[in-house]
Amino acid sequence: MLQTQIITIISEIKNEPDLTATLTGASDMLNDAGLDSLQLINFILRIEDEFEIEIDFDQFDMEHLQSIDIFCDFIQAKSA
Amino acid sequence: MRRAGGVTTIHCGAFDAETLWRDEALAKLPSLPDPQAKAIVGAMDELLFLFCESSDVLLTRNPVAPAQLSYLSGIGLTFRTSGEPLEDSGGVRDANPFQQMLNKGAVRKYKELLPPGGFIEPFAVLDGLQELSSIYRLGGLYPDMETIRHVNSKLYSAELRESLGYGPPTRIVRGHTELRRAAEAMLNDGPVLVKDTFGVSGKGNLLIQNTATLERIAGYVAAQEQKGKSTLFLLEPLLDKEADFSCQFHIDADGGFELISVQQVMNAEFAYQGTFSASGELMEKLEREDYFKLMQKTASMLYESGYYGHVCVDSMLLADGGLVPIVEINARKSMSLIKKRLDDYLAKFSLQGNLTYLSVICPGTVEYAELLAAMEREGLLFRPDRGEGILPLSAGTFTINQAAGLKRKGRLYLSAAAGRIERCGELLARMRILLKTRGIAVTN
Repeated sequence: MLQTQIITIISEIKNEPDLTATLTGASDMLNDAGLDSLQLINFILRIEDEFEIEIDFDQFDMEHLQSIDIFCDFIQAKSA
Repeated sequence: MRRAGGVTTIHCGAFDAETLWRDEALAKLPSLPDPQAKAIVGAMDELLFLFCESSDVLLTRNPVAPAQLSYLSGIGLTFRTSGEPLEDSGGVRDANPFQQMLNKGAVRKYKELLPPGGFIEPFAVLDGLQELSSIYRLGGLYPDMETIRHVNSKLYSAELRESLGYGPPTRIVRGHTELRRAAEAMLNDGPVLVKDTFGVSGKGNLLIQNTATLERIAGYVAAQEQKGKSTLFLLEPLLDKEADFSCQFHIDADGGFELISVQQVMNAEFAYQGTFSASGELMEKLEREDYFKLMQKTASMLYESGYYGHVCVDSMLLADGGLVPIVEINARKSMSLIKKRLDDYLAKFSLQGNLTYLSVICPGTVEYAELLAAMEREGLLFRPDRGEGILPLSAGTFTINQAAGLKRKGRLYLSAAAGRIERCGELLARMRILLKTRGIAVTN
């Protein structure tokens, strides 16, 4: 499931296995997951790699990070 | 470093100096905007109070919270400050604090806080400082901006390191094709660190572990080259690091050298515990390996390059016991120098402490005064007569992003102070619990 994949990637980037139990689809990716700027860019690069998509860094809308569910929708739209 | 008695010293500065020094004509590594993190960095100027003597002035972008001023005054840390923000509503976006004051300079708004003959002690020398000093007839003397940019570039650090014969080996790349080719070859031996010439911790450095990421980064750089940007990045192998530490020294305007301190980042069970004074064991190792002679040599070379003022050299201990004495030269004040000032303050009470931070997510508006009151009720707030406790160092970094009903990022800079350094971990653990009970999540 996409949501689980995203949570696992966040947990690996943060090196915090506990996040797989605490994060949900409603979790805010910056303010609940606590991704900092470097972690965030590594996360996006990892997403590009795993889902074979390209994200425009300069035009990226941070609103997509409001929740894991919203980010999943964004990935699905890019993959379509 | 300090002027004669009676001369007003004004402490002011920006903690994102590298960003402000950076040449906009250069291509960037991929990054995403994080306005909340940027606002927090902007509020870090409050930390400069630790450099203040009682007659000194602290000028911050935003006024320091009255509760923090009152607390600091209560523990003997007094200074003068402004109750108004530096920024004009119509000010230039991203102006540094000196430019912000220049924007208001026509009305000589700061004439009481910037008296003739006084001088500004900046965290870092930035555009506008010399002009501001001139307008207010202040006495500060600073290296020119070209020198400041030159010696703070990672290219300068790499070239100086190489001229002294110390690693790590650095490959300089000046185009996306060269980046791709050089990094690909280095990937055969392990992960590669790509560094922007003005990158800082967490921004401007990227770790490449596979060719897919390399291709993506090279493509991103190529697109910028097509728009006319130049490319200049440094490639280094990722080293097996055991610990980070740094050395602070000062170069006088006449070239004199003063070693100030060595500070060490400590981790416990893989968690960041903060910056501590270097252990006796580390100091002995550094002495044995002629590290301090190398720092003096580094100071001489910086002076020959036209720089004088504060310096912080980042260094590294490797897992195999090796030493990387010069990772990066920061020709400015530093967090480690702030830590040294904390040491000096705590030593008056025969106490020791660390300097650390907690990244927090506030669930809405949390009054700073209420946080201090809660710490006081728990007996956790540092007071000299208590003999230990948590000394909160900045209010603005905690409150700057807060908004009613919204989860927002904040950062609490703290010192855990006690008679024995081993107590610091326990005090920080109590602080984390206190924050949690108030609904504030700690994310580091």
